Amino acid sequence: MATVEVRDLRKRYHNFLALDGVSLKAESGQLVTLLGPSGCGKSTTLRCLAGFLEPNGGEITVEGVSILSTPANRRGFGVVFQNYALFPHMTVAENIGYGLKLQKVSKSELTTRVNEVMDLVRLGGLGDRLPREVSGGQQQRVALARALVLKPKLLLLDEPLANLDARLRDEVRWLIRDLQQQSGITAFYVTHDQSEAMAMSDMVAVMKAGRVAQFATPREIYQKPTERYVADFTGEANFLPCTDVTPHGEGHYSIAAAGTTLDLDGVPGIAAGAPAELLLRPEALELTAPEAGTFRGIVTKSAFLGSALHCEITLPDDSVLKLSAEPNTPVTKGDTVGIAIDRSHAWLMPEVAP
Amino acid sequence: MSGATSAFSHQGPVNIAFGALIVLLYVFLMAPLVMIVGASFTGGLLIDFPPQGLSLKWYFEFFERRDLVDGLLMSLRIGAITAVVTMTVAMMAALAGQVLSGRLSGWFQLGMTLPLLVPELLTAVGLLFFLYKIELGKTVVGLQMGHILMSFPYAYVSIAAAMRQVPASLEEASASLGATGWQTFRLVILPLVMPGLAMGGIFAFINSFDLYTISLLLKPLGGNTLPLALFDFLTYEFKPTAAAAATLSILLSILGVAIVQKLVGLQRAF
Amino acid sequence: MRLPNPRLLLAIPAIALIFVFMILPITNMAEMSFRTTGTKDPFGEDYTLAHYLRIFGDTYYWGVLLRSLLTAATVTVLCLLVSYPIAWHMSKAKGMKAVFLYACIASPLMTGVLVRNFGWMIVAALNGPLNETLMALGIIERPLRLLFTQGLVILALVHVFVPFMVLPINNALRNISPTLIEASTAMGATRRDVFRDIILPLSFPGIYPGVILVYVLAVAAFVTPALLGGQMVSYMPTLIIGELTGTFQWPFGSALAIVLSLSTVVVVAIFTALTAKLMERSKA
Repeated sequence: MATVEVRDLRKRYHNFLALDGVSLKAESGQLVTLLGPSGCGKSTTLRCLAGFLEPNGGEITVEGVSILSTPANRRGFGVVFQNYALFPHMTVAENIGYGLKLQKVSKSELTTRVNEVMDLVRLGGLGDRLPREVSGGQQQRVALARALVLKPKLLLLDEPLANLDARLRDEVRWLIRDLQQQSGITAFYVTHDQSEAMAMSDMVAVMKAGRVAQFATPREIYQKPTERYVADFTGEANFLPCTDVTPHGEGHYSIAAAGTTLDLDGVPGIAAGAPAELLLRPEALELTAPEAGTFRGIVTKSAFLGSALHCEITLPDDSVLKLSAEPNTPVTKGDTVGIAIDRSHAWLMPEVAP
Repeated sequence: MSGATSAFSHQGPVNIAFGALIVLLYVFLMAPLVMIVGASFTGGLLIDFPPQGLSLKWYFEFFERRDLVDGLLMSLRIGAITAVVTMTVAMMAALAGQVLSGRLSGWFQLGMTLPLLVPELLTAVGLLFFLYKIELGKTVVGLQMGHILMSFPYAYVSIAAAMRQVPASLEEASASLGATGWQTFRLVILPLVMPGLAMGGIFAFINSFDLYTISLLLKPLGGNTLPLALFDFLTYEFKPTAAAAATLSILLSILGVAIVQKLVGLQRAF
Repeated sequence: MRLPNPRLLLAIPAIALIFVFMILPITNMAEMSFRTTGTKDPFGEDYTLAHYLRIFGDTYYWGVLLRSLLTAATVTVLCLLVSYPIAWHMSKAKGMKAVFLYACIASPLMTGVLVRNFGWMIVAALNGPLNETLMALGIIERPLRLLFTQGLVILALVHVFVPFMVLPINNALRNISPTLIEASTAMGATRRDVFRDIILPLSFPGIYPGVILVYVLAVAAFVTPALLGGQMVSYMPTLIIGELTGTFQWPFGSALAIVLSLSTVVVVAIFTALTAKLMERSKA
């Protein structure tokens, strides 16, 4: 429906720089997730998009046209809030129909459209209840319906699942993604939950201290992070310090780590001899006999988690690798084991200041 | 706190003594009011105790006294205007106060409650000179302004408390759905703060109805509010008519308390 | 940089009200206190320090000021003693009982000072209920003359201000987590220990505003001494109103009001300084 671009967005509160040059782009119909810990600027970015905050610098365009001078009530974006922000004195149907009523839509059309969207989010029959009389998951769907009924150009979701319990979260997550894809609405989605970001998004922007650390597809973010911060925030990760970095063409390197030399892919542009880190996701590692692996180490922790056996292995240089083994693997604390690595899951990153 | 109390429940005599103390303190608190109500229905005189017979004659006498009835009417009129004006001005101020944050918001709160924190006497004396200077001395308008000023904090505190219960995200949600500022106020904020607004009006009215010192200094020529008329009456005639007037005043405050309880609940109001 | 939020404009009427009808007049009054005594008007054209010199040079005014400050202090202390048990009892009440107790506090609060003082005139009459009760109990043999005494003024003032003290203390007590009391009990504290070491210090954020408010209001209370104190004892407020409405000595009345205000501020400042450490610790 609309291509949205954010360029070099800046926002300052007194002495605190909340946004320090954020740039993002959502192609029409994409769901872009802003992922990061609290205080990284993800909500601030969303609130600038919604028009609740005025940035100090930068540009936001929809279909190439700047919207910064348009007030929030004329942007025509749908917003879903973390606390849902349902009007407590209006029924579910009145909440959903509020925007249509403001547009002076005829009574019959209003009823039709409200009922349509209520069926869409499976709220049929709850129209006459007050928000406090329906469950948390239902409140969440009311908030969603209220935004969708106006057929917004852009849907903005601020941690919409944060107040739901784990079971409901899964259900509503798919509902949001389905509705967004069906209607083809461009969407920005703010969350601090990496699995949510991975599962739902076309693109993920990992944010760090008011900047975008990496903006890429979920797969790239997970498998080819540009720095340790991104790798850490997107899932379990092992890092090994490397020496003797030697580039072999664009993005290919040979390195030495924990007493072994390896050939592998990595972030392009790391100079020869520059400080670098090796990223090994737990699924890149496999336990072997002590002499068969790339590395050899001693099991220092092992915990049975049902579907897997979680192990920590200390290497001779005292670095530690965490991995998940098949639950019936016969290892216990103190065993010497070997570790094989799947080189397609290993990734070299430059060492940058945190 | 009940858990901790039960931990000490073997100390029976202490609890009984404490209970007796509480009863005594509440007697202290309620006695003057109860005595007034009782005295207003007496068949005898104020100084007779226990009261002699039951009668409504003092109420009839009250309504026959021009000075007291005129005072009552003036108090009601000034109170009503005070309530309407303070509700409007305080509602606007509370809307503005909502966008302030941190220290600034604290100063704003303090400023808005200033007439409550500075002794009435000081304000009254200042106003006496000031109104004289702007040629509003000894006029009803001047007295009205004094009442509005003194009652404003009550309206403001109630309305601002109600405003704080409205999350900012509701306004943002309303805006994102296309509402103008005025539409958001009328359709979202006003219905939600209505109980607090009404309570503010009641407090402002009752406060205005009760004001004495400021009315004494600013009273217009030939006009008296009920408390002023009552004071004069008490100075010269110590009769149960005064008790009848005072009982009406007590009834008004009990009515106010009941409405406040119905609107927002006393616990949240105080 | 950024324009201030236009919604702030809505505060203009309120700010104007308080500035024009309160701050300006009080500033005006400060100026008035330096004016010369007028012959035709209530004040003269020139400026003088004479009124302040007269107040400080006359032990009569010192006496009245001291009486006002001490009476207010007595009222405040008694008020605290009366209010604390009420607040404690109230803070533990729930449901309809709590509503009833709140109503018992709120009704006097919303009844005018004059009306409540009048109630005391009835209670304290020569053969009124108080004297009758005391005689029936055998505490006194013949009725006491209570009306127009300093004691009755203090009693009535305490009655007027109790709600102002009860409400903040009640709120502070309600904010004390019951687990703190359970924790100290588990560590072997007796009821007395718990009260002295936990409850009393943690309720200070309620005591402090209550004490300040009651003291400030008590110092400047006019109606109660005027109605119940009679002509026998003078307090600053009655003196000030007398100068202003009786003899029309506006500059001198203003000077008295300024002196009273400043001494109140000094007392409040001393109290704040003395309790600063306690307040800092007990803040939530």
